[in-house]
Amino acid sequence: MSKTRKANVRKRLKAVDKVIEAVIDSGVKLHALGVAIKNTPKESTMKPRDKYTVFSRKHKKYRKSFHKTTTTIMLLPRRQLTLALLKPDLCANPNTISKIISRITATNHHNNFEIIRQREILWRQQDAEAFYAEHRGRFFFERLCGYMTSGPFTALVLARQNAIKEWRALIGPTHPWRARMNAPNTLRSHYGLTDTRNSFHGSDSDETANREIEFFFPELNVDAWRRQEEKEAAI
Amino acid sequence: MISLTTRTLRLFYKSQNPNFRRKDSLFSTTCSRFHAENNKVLFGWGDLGSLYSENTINKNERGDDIYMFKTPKILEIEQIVGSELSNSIEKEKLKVAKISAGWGHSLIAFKRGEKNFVFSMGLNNSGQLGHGKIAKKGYHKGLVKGLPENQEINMLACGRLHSFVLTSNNATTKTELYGFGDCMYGQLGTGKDKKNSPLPIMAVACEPLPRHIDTFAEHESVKQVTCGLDHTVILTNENRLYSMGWGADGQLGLGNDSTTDKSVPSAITKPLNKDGHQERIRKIVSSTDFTMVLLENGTLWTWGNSEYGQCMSGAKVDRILEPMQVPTKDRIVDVASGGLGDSHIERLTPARIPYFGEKQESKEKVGENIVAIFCGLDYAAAISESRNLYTWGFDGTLGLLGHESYHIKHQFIPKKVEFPEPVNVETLACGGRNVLALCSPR
Repeated sequence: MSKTRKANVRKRLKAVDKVIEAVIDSGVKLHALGVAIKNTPKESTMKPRDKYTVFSRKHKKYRKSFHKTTTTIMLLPRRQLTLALLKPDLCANPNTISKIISRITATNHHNNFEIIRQREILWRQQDAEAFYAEHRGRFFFERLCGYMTSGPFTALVLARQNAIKEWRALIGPTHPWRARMNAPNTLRSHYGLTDTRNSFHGSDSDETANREIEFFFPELNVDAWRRQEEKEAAI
Repeated sequence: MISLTTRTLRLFYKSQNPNFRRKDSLFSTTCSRFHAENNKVLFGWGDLGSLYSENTINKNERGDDIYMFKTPKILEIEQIVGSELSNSIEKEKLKVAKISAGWGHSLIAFKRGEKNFVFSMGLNNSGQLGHGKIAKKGYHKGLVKGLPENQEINMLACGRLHSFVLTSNNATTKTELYGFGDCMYGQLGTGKDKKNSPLPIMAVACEPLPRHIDTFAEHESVKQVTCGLDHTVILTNENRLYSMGWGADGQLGLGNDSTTDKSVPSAITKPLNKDGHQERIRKIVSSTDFTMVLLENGTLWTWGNSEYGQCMSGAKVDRILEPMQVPTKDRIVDVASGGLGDSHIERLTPARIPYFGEKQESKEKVGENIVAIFCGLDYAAAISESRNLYTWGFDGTLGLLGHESYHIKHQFIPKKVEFPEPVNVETLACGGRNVLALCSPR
């Protein structure tokens, strides 16, 4: 590579760094920005080998661009974890539990969840109060705790792309009667009993999923699981 | 081998009976039918598991498993009572006396001469069948053990996972109440609940065998018992009301400062009348989280969960903690309570059935007078003067409306249920997963 071409490459790389810095300074919070900070090295820290390689497939010593490999990992749809509860009124009928589990693990477009962990749990009053601590003082707190301690229930960790959203879509509206009217194919429409005994729970965001998985499955290391997933995706 | 035998039998049967049609099931024509002896036919529809045991699940023409009946089907004595009873009791004299259906189980009271039996079938995960054992898996059937055979059975009541049998001795007219099944909330009134159940092992507080419930005054005996999903309300001959079980929604009606669970029968002290003196109570009904009491003077009182306005107070409130009178001008003659709404009929001609509930209101004329009404979780039924059955409500996945519809064909106006043969419907038990109907041939 000639001196002029090398200088041009440096110029272009510096321009990229400048853009990233400008975006950081503006205070905008973006997912893409986080990825860029994490994955894009600065011109000053790059090795000459990375800087001056010609990424042409026709070139003799062709190698895949650093940026290209990272973007491939980034674009792969990553699986997400969510915590699902099959509540005590459902677990009173073991026959429906097996039906539900075979439905959520069915390999079709809508379901296709992988069960990472499964455990049957019987709560005492203080366990329920600890789990629902954020709802303390609300009018439904007492009945929610009473309901959740009324018998054994099943906790599941489910993995799927976009798991949190998809699981909540599968279980349907909070009120079983509303589910029966408006979303007849959801799980609550089939198995929900009353407003209080709404039979299913799903985490509402990544943070709550992490917290709830930690609550029920302290031995499951979510970060390690994510790293493993990324590694598999890279391969 | 089996098909050959069946075929041979059928050919043989055909040669004996020229009128035999292939469509008829061989077994239902040859087995002794219920009504042949005692003039009562028991019909059932809904989830098969709660109708009989799993091992009798049928197959349809294509060979798929049938797990529900969408239309009324005759329950054969052979299928219900099974081998357990057929040896020990003469079938000819068996008579169905009372029926009741819970969330996943049903009770049927049989009478043979002087002796009385209660048969139970369905889920048994908390011992709600009263067989003396708990089964984690599958559906079961059998006789309730430990009940006095020589006592008349007055009443059966099923909650979500608990059951009550009310028996009476003709000689003393003293009634006795037996409860069995789940008591995590204390709904059996035995003093046992989740607080004193052994933890941390996965043990649910329950009574797999009938327990005699007796915490009332000396001359007081139980007159009526009704179960909500997780609570129980008792009416005694002294016209007093007792409640036990889950109280978080005010199901127990114990007053403004009491929403705790009760594991012993607790008296409802508020008098059900404005001037303070207690009017005679005619009927108590509950099937989910609220209770309704009908007095002899035709007024209706209610308490419990009222999220859907099922307590008919005119305002949408979450819960009513102590008995409150329902503001109606009409004289109420009968009442039934369900999950999302409730029905009451008034002495009007032609009878009308208002079905209250959020976003569900149907004021349709059946066209004839109504004599009895029943409510399930989110469906309701009425028996007309000519003993026809009408049902309406949500069409669940179990075909509980009995209209051969399935899943999304909700019925918002009463529709007549077609029975396979002409019968007079006498009484109905609306459960969470099945419906039983006791009929007599027309």
